[in-house]
Amino acid sequence: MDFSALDDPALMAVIARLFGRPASDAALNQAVSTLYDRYGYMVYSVAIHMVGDIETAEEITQDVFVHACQGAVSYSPGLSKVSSWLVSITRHRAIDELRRRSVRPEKDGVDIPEDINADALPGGQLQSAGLEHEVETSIQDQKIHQIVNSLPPEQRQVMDLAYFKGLSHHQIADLVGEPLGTIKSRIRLGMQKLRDALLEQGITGPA
Amino acid sequence: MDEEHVFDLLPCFVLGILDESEKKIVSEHLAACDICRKELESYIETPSHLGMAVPRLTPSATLKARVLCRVKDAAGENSSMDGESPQKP
Repeated sequence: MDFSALDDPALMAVIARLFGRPASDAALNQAVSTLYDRYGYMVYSVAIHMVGDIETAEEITQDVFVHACQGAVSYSPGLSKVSSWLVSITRHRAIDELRRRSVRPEKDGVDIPEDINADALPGGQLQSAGLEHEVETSIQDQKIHQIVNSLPPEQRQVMDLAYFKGLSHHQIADLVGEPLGTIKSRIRLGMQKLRDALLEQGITGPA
Repeated sequence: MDEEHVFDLLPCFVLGILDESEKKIVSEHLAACDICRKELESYIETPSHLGMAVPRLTPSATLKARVLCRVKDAAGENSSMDGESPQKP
């Protein structure tokens, strides 16, 4: 069975149909393998960027694919792309992990919220440790990188803190030492810029 | 809320970082406002692209096998849970 020719929504529909059917192990394995080949590195990269250690990122990656299979039956292509959906699942799972750590802090290089440096995220630490080995990215991925990297730094900073750390705007305001209204405004403007640029570049479609 | 719509709160709403009172205001407004719901839809995919822009790293070569193993186990549990669904009234 080769599912590689299926587009993402069709692949998710196959997984939804096969998951939990005892006689479908081999087919499900092949379908999920295809999904992993497409997005495994992306899920893993988001996870490790957020939690900062390989072992936890690998756990999260496994959890995300299990969650995706369990939720495949209710995945709706009209609401979001599969890639966006997987990134969202990853983000939520990683934020759960970060919050768990803040309740029960553990030793050894864990980046718990109290230690957050407003300018640094775990991915940067991995890079400086020489552990980063970048995967070749598609043209679309490069466009996304370019769009996000071209956001004004002060807007990018607060959006990253909100998105990757799950901080509230009150927490962000305290951390960066700016008024709450300024933080809300930067997030709003940054999100508008990002939304509009993604639409203009054809990466997202009109609502 | 003074404005007719909640456009200004939608980006933070989509990021999930509004406080409870603001979240309630937006949710209640969205239930009754097509214009704001459409505006919200325009933001739904935006945050995930922050995630897609992180540096792409190569996972361990064994991670794929572990993912497939976990999925297989979960599928097995799913299938046995269905099998145990009560048939009697």
